Amino acid sequence: MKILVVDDYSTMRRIIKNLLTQIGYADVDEAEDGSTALKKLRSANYGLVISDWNMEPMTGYDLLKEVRADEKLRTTPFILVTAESKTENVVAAKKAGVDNYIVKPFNAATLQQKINSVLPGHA
Amino acid sequence: MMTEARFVASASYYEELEAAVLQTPRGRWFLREFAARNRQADTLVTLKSIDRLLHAVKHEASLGPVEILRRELHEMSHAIAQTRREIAAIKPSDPSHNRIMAATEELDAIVTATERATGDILTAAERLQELAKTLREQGATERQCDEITALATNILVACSFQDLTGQRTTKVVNVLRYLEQRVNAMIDIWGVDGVTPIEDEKDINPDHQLLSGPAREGEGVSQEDIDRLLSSDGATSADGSEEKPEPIDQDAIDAMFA
Repeated sequence: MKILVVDDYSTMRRIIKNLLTQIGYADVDEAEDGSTALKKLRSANYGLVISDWNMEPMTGYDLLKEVRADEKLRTTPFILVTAESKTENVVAAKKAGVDNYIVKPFNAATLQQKINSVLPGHA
Repeated sequence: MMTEARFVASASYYEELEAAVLQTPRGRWFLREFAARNRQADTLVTLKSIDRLLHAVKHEASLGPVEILRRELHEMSHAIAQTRREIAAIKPSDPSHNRIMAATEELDAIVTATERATGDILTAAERLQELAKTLREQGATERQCDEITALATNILVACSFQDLTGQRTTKVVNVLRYLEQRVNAMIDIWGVDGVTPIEDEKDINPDHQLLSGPAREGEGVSQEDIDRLLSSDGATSADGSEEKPEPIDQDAIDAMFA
């Protein structure tokens, strides 16, 4: 299963990719903003999107709304990994259809737990 | 005829005189007319006094707000002049000495340096993971290999601080850029050319100009350059003139020792 990691910081993409590899997900692709991610999602099949929120020109939140509005992508599991930790952010993301929400900084166990919750068959 | 100096008035003499005058119609007319004229004169004096008082009160009342307004305008004028001087102090005399821009560049340099350092740490942590894998393949104990892998993972995850500090620093940079735009707009509006800027507080450290913190990319001298400078006899300029405070490049250093 292919996973798309979306973050404008290469450091974060590298960390998440490393953690995913450790927990058994070796097929990981990267995008540095929402619009690049959307193009990739529309051109290939991904089993999970792990995205940052605060990016330009398209944020992770906007990417989530685009994914949920797209007939072909709407069921793709989506996890937001972000420093935005206000209740209103979490509520907005939940309303937009996010499957889970991880606040930075996080640890490997949290990432694995959230992935397991959205991909129960792959645990 | 009695003189004014020798005449001594008394109440009885007044009554006698009044009674004498009242005995004739002409005398009675005179007394009535005299009383009427004197009463009118007193009234006119009083009315004139009241009128003067009224005018004075009205003048004071009308002068109050004007005076307040004048004072307010004076204070505003003083504040405007002060602000212009403050803004003149912010405006750099030389564009290369723009403090806000310098602060922004310093913060950008922090982000770049932190990103580079984090990259190095990540590379080292990933190398540790590879070593643990190799050791495992070579028969090292599972416990030790697991521990190395776990520690390397902890190092990796801890590096996510760079994302958070980067985002916070970007916020500060954006605020500084916004302030710079607003200050420039104020400078344009107020036209501070020729205005005497407010002087900075004097730095008590006489060597203040020597302290500029870490040099940015492309600035300053390398450790090798410093070693070379210190190992030679003269570290001052070849012509004996005072050193410039700006960072110098290798060519400039070589020229000093030519």
